[in-house]
Amino acid sequence: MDILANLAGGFAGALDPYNFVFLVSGLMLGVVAGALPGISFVNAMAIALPFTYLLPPVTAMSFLGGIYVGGVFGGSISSILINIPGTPASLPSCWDGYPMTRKGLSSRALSIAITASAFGGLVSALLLTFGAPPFASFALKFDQPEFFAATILGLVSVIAIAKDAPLMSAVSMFLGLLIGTVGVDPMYGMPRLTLGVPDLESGINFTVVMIGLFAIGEVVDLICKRAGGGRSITAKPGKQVGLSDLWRVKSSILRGTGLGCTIGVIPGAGATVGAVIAYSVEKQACGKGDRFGTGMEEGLAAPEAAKNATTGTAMIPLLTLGIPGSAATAIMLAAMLIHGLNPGPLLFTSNTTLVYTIFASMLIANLLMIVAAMGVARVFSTLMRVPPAILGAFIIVLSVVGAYGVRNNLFDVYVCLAFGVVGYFMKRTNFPPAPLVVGVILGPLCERYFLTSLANYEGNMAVFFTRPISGTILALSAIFLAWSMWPVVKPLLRRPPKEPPHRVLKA
Amino acid sequence: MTPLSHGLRRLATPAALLLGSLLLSQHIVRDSTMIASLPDPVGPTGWPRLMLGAVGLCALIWMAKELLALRRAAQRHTPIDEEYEGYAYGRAMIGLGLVVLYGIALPQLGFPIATAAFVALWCLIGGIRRPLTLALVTGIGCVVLLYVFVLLAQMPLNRGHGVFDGFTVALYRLLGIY
Repeated sequence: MDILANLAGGFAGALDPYNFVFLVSGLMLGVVAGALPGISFVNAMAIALPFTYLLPPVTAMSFLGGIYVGGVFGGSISSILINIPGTPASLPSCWDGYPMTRKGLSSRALSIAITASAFGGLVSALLLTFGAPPFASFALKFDQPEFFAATILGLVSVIAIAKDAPLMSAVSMFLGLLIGTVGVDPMYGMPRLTLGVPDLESGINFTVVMIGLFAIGEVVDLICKRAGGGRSITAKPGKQVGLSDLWRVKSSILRGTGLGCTIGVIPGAGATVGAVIAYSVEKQACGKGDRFGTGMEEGLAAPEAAKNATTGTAMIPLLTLGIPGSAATAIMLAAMLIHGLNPGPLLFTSNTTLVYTIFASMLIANLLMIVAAMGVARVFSTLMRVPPAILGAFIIVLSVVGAYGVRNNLFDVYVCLAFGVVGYFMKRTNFPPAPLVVGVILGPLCERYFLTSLANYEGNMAVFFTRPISGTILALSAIFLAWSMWPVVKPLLRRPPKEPPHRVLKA
Repeated sequence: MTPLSHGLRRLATPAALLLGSLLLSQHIVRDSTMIASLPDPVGPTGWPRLMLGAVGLCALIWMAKELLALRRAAQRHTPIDEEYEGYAYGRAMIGLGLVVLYGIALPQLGFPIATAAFVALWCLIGGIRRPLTLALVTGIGCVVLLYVFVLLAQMPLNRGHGVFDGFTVALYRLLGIY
């Protein structure tokens, strides 16, 4: 009953005209950013982050939540209409969504995608609302060693999920953790790794790092890949989808939703993993797998539902433990820290209104997404006519203003531009930037938990392993790490194969 | 490209990371004598040193992996083909240079002039050649940005030095911002 009463308060907060306008604006911005190939909702969130300084915490979180929910779906619009995934998570939508467009069923494909996404997102937001508070009550038993262990698990899972490049992800994450140590240390007030630069004594701001990596690096890459204009979209929208048609794909939507909700809660997994797994499972489960790739509605509905079903549950580890599992949730964490909010179990008691307003905003955003996505899909062809060079120029200017606005300091602009250059080269060399960002954000927290644990337990390192909860979490982290690094270590131990592999470096 | 030169190029990044972590571990704090007197065994350098060690270890594994791949490729005497799908690296370098120049120009020229110049040049390298489009995008875009950030958000964006400061102030007066 407490949850329902708090949720009613949350709805009152989310429907406050000021918050509601920002929620809808965020939603629209997210759908547009997601729909534009090359500009993901993570870019949009990173650019928007410094401007949320001007907003109250509740409004800022509603705004970013709107971008997150809208952006995860937005990528499917370009996937379905022009076969270019707006976001990596929308890739499976190309496989059956675009063939539907080629058959002249673009409206039908969009309607199925929007309905499945909204359903998945809504169920996920409900799970967040009713699942997070009990989890937070359990997390109240956590002391500093447990938080340290949970942070380590969050960091390890970022590596674990990058099965294709775990070593690169590990290097990226450790570099992020190292960047997080620049500046005055938390215990003795001694400047570290400043290399004699006085501006570095106040540390490297994670917002600035995020803007540089996600916005500037991406835009430079975008201008080199896409010099041409947009492509034409099929003029035939096809027959509109009815309730009976949606009822036919209900099993696919339910399976996708279930998978998405489960995968979302795993730190480091996220929408891309959820959508790809849901597509593979659906191919086996629906009994029409041999026709997948030809425009099957089931092949579109399942990954769409799974993709948005990760959004709500991904917020559970973020809000209850302060562990961001993806770049998007890392930005949400950054926004909370900027506004002086410390995510964790205590947040549910100290800032109940804020927490339930976030829940209510997620629920409302998923409902409003149907309208927003339909609207953006209609004007999509106009949006695609904006040349990437113009978009890119203003994204860079907004990034620079955003970086400056963090502390009204030009040094932050230089740091942002430097990370923009780094981000570009990371992208070109397939060096994942998300673990670096997670490292920069979690690094100072992790160090603080580590040092305070040692201070509270007389410098006894064994405390992390002997306490049941922290020991279990650390053991889980070790298993996760071993499992993820095995593909790297295995070739070093194996004899060389007889046939030479043909290496191809792609531009 | 031969497997040897290709392998050596691939070894460069982990080698630089290893070297960098070794060098940085000697310069974590400005005066290491200050931490020698601390009773805490971890101290302010403990955590960064641990992270540098982790970077170094990962770089070592990475190098071992690359060396192994290099050895296997050399044993087979197979050239490694590189394919580039027409990616405009030249444009990328110009773009990156322009971004860096924009950062340098901001305090000198001020936000309005530096931004207008940057937007126009960026659009030019992005393939937009029509003078009218360039003028409209640059002009309208910059005016909107000034209204939003200087007038509404009241951000103290840089006005530049000397004559540029005077120009920015005159522009703000013309636009009704001041």
